[in-house]
Amino acid sequence: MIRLNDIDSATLATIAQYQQLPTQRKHTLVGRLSDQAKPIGLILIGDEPENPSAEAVEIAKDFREWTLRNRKSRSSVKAVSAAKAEPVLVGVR
Amino acid sequence: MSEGAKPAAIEVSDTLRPPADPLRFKEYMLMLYPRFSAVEPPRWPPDVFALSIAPLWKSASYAAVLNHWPAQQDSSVAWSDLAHKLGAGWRKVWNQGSVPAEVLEKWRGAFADTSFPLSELSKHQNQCQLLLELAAIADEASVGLGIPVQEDLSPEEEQFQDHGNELLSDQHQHGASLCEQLDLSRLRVLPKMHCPQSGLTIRSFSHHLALCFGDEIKPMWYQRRLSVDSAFNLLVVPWPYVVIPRQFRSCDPLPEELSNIDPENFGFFTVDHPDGADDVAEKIEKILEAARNLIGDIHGVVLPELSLSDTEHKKLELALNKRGTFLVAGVGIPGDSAHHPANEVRVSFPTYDRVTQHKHHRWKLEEHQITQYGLGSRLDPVIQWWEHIAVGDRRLGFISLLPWLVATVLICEDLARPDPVGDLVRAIGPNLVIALLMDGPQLKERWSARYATSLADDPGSSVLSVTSLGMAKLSRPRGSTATGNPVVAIWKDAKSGGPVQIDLPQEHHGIVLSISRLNDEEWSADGRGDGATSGYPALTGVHPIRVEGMGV
Repeated sequence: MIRLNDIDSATLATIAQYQQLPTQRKHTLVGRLSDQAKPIGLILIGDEPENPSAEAVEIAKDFREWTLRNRKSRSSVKAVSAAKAEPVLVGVR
Repeated sequence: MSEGAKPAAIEVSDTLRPPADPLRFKEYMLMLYPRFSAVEPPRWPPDVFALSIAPLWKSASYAAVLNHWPAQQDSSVAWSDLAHKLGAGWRKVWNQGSVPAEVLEKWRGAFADTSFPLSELSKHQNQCQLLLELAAIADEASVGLGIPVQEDLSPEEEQFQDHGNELLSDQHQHGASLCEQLDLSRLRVLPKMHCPQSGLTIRSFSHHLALCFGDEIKPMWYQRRLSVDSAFNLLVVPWPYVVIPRQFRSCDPLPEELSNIDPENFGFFTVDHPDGADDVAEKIEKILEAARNLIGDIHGVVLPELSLSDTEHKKLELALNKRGTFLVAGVGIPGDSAHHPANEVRVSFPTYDRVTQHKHHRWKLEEHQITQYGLGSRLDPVIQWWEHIAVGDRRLGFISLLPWLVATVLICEDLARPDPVGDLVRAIGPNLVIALLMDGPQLKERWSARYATSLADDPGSSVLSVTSLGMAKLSRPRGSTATGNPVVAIWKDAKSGGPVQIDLPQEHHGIVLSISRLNDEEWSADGRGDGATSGYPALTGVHPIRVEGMGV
C-alpha cells in the first residue's frame, strides 16, 4: 500500500498543478520523490514508468482530478445569509 | 547605632537606569536579517513582507500610519489596484533575481535612514508608509502560496508557486516557513487564510501572509487531497459511549520528574483505556455505512480526545483508508516507568503518511471538575491533579485541503490556552478548527463555545468541538442529579450567528455534519479587498445516524 511522505505530498501536488514547469525542473522534482511515489510523479509529467502498480495509476488519476476540480470551483461571492438559518435536524426530534 | 554616630549616606544615582541604549532601527533589521542592506532588498516577496512588517509591529507604528493613508493615491481603490498590479508583476520577475523597479524604490526609501531608535519609527511618517506599501505589495504577490491553485497561471507564476511549495515543505527540522533568506530562528512567514475583520493588530494588514514569531511551537504545513466541489460530509462519532470513573486514577511522576512536588497539594492522574471488548473499528465502519446510505459520500470521520487505543486506531485507520475516508482521532497511549502516557491526535488521509500531534497543555482537574465528573472516590478533591503527559514536542499542523480550506486540529486545553497555540492560529487563520475534547456536554454556555466564538470573531475560523458521549453523560454539574444532556459537539462560524449545539439523539450512534463553502470579501486595514476569496466553512446539515441492532 502506497504511503506518501510529506515531501512526496508537496512535490506531487506541485507536479500535478504546475504543468508548465520546465522539463528539467519536472525531472528534478520527480527525483525528490520516494521510490513508491516516483511512478506517480512520472505519470503526472507524462512519462511512462515501467510497470506502475494499479494503485500508483489510480493515485495519479486522483491528483489530476483534484487539480481540475479545484480550478473548476473558483471562488464566487455567495449570499452569506444562506448560512444564517439554523441547520435542519433530519430524521428525529 | 552608638550615640552621636551619623547614619551612612544613601547614594542616589542621577538616573534610575543606566544611560539609554535603545534598540535602533538598523540594529533590529540586522537582528532579523544579518545580510540586511538598505539598498538591495531580497528578491522573494515573503522575505520582503517579513522585513517590512516586523519593524511596524515592533515599534507599534502600524496604527499611526493609517492616519495618513493611502500615502499617494486618491482612494483605497487606486491603492488596492496599484498593490495588486505591482504584486502580480513581482511574481513574473522574481526568478530573474530582481524585484520590480517600484519595489526597489520603495525599499530604498523605507530604509533611507535607520540610525534612529526603532521606537521613534512612527515619527518618520514617510518611511512607515513605504514599509506598509512594501508589505502590502509582497502580500499581493504571494496570493495562493501553500494552497491548491484555483486559476490558470503563467509559466512564471507556476515557478513562483513551485518555489513557495518547496520552501514550505522543507520543514522536517524546524517547522515550516515561506521565507527564503530569513532564518527560522529569527522570524517566519506562513500562508494565511483569514484577515481579521475586527480590531486592529499587525494581522489586520495582510490577506495571504502571516508573520509568526517565536520557536515555542513548530508550525507544520501539510498538503492533502480532498476531492470535493463546495461541500463535504464529516461523520462525528462521539466514542466512547461510556466512560466510567474507574478509568481515572492517580499515577506517579517519572523517577526524576518534579521531585519537589508537594503531594499534599498536587498530583498526577491518567486515564486508562478500557480493555478492548468492543471492536471499535467494526462498529464505526457500520456507522459509516449507515451514514453513506442516508447522506451519500462521507469524506471524513472525527472521534474525540483519547477515544482510541493505538491498536484500535491502526485498525480503524486501515479500514477507512480502504474506503477513501480520512480520519481525525484522539489516541491515548499508556505510559510506563520511563515514559509519559501520550495524548495525541492523529490525522490520516488515504495514501498519505499519518500526521501526529501531541497535546500541548496538561488538563488540570480541580475540586469542581472532580465533582462534576463524579471522580471523588478516585481523585482526592483537595488536591490539584495534573494530567500526566509529555508536553515537550510542541507542533501545530495546518492541513491544506482545498483552495478555500486549511484545517487545524487542537486537543482540549489547547483550544483554551492563548499560547503557544492561540497566537499561531490567529496569525494563520485556518478556515476550520477541529477541537477534540474529553469534556462535558458542549453547551453554548460552556468554555468550548466561548473559545470557539473568540476564534470565529478573530481570525474568522469555523470551529467544531467534539466530545464523547461517555464524558457528556458522566458530567453532572454541581447540584444536579440528572444525567448530562448528550450534546456531543458544538459548531461556531463567523457568518451564521450563535454557536450551534449538536446532540446525539437516543439510540443513535453518530452524526453527519454537512459543511459547505461560503465566500466573503475580507478587507485589510490598508484598504485592500481579497476579491471574496476567503472561505468560511458553514454548517448546512446535521444528520443523526442510527445502526439497527447496535447498542449505545
